[in-house]
Amino acid sequence: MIERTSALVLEDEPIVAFAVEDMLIDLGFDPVHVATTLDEAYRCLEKFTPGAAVLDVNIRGDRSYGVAEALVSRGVPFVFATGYGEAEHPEAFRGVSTLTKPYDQAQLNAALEAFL
Amino acid sequence: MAQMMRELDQSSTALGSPVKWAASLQSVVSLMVNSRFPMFVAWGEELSLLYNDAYAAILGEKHPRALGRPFEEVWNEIWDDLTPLVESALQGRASWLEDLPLTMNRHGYDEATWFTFSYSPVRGESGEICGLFCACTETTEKVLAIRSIKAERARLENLFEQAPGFMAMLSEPEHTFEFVNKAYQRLIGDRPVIGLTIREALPELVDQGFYELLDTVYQSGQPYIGRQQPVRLQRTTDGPIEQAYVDFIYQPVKDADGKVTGIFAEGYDVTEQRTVEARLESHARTLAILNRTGTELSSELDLDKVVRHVTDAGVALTGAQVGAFFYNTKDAEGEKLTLYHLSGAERSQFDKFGPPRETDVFNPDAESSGLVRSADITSDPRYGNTDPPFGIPEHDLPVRSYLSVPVKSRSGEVIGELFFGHEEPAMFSEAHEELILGIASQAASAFDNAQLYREAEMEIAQRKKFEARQVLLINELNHRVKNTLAIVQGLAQQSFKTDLPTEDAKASFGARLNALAAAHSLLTRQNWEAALLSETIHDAVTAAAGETASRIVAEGPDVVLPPQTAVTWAMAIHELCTNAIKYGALSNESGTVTVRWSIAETKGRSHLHLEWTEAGGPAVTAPPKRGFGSRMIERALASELQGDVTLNYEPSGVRCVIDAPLPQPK
Repeated sequence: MIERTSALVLEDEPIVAFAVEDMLIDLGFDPVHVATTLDEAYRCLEKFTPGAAVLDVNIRGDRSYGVAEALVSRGVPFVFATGYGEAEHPEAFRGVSTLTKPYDQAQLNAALEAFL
Repeated sequence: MAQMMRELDQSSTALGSPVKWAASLQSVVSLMVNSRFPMFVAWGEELSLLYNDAYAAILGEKHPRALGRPFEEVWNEIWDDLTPLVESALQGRASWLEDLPLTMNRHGYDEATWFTFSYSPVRGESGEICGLFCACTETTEKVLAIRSIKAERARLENLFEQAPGFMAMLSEPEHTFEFVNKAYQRLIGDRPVIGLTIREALPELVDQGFYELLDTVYQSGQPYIGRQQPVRLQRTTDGPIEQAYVDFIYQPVKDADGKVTGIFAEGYDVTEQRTVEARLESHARTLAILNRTGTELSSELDLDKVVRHVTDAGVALTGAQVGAFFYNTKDAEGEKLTLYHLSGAERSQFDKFGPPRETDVFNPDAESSGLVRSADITSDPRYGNTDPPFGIPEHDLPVRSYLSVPVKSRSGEVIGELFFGHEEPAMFSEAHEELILGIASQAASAFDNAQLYREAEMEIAQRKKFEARQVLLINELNHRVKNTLAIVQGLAQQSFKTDLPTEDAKASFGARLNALAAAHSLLTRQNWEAALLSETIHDAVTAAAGETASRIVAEGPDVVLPPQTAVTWAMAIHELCTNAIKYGALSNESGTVTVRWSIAETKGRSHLHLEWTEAGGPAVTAPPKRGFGSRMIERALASELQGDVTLNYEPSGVRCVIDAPLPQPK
């Protein structure tokens, strides 16, 4: 069981971000930080290291793999979320669980559980 | 012999007893017998013959019977030849004869002989001439030897003279001509050379290495053999210096001591043979080029390579110094020719002249093959009608021999023009014309093929591009649908996670879906590229407020929003409207909402300032718990705009102030 402490959500669609934020709170994470841009995500990581993270792959036309690398270097477990079907991640992230939008709380929980 | 003379039969001779011989006769006989040189004396009335041993050998079988016999009897067969000489001697005149031919019969057969001899008179006691004395030598062998040498020499000279190869005999270190045969005369244009040195006789050989070769052969004593050696010679009287080829040998001639005294030059004029060989070689080469070009063109679908093969083949076949292909291109000014490929010259040499115009030379007759061949384009009447003329770049690329042919497609369209040039005049022949016409027709069909192939390729590429775009579009659509579903899911999740009654939650959810749909409709009208802030607000207000929308005034300059930002704006405005309708200015009959915005420039960046001001509604109190609405307005819009959003529940009415940087125009 991962430690359900803090969490980071990177999602550029606010309505979706709030929904994920609520799901994570329901799943026991507190506090949950929401970033809607890559810059915001990096700024968050400078201030604290979350217990887990959910990263939307496509953030306003850019990819969130840079943030993913930062998470790997800090040893933070994370899952990807994407609106695309079978997204081809770079070699380093092939093994990362990827949620396909839309997903519900149970699916998010299962993906996070997979870290065990 | 002396014994024999003493014992002569007195009766058979008119001489009488030797003891009674005149003193002069006795002394002559004494001289004779003591000499080993052939001698005889003819004495007395009958000219009786007395001789020595050496003369006996000349007499052959006539000896010894001839001794004491009359001269006339002994030499009966040659008496007629001798008579004048005998008579002269008897009259007191001595005579001397060299190599006198005499046909003798001394061995039983007639024999050609030659003698050198002298007849001199011999006098008696009283001074009267009593006989003649002869000292003689037979020169038959010598004469025959000389004759044979002469005949041999004549035979050889004749042989040399008529020999098919050329021959010349040069003597002395200066190589003076002693003898040349007819073939040699033909080689040098029948010039008189005998007695002249080679440098005097054949001055055109200077700097061709032949003088030096002869010097080397003379000095070294080693022969030199030349094969297919080029030589420039004056072959006709007053004619030009011509190129010839010779096979030859310089053979040193040595004397008995081995010292070189001259050089015998012998050889064959192989000019014609070489010309024939060269022509055969040229034919073989032509065939090889044609064959290769045909093979290359038939399998070549790349236009650039077709052009290159054709131009290079043309240059190789005609011996041109420069070959070029000009593409016939069409633009607003009509047809013109553009240099496409060049062989044998620098492209820069053509650059100065710009695209060639369709001069008379370049486009002489649309009906014919269009081929133009000019031995000297600079003096061609077809050239010069336009200025500057094509093809004669006057300083950098001097062209005189000129050959050009259009390349026409099956449909008769002129694809381009092949051009070949040479700085020397009259370098292109009728045969070259034929070759170039053949090449041009091969090129035309290769062009047609390449063109078809290129068109097909372009169509395939276009189709592939279209298919790739379709795949991209489908992916994009899929993504957008999934994102929208995620938004709908988010809306649902947040709309139903409330303390409100289920019916109210359903109504809120429905209204939010409406707002989302309105925003999507707006964006769809704009191809999902952008939306104006004014339109986004207008559509959101209309969807949420219906009739009461007329009480909302929205004013401000044009601001362009990216799609996702427009959706967030629409959703936030929707929440503001809903709140106003439920609790604020639009909840009574008279309240109003004013939305005003402006753009300010600070530090080179544009900032948006917007105020939502409600007035005339019931007194406002802040809600006890903030729900989806305020979350949407304060957090979502703020983070979407990367700006500040404040929502104030002022007693006179809700006031929302938004300050945000505008994205830099791209």
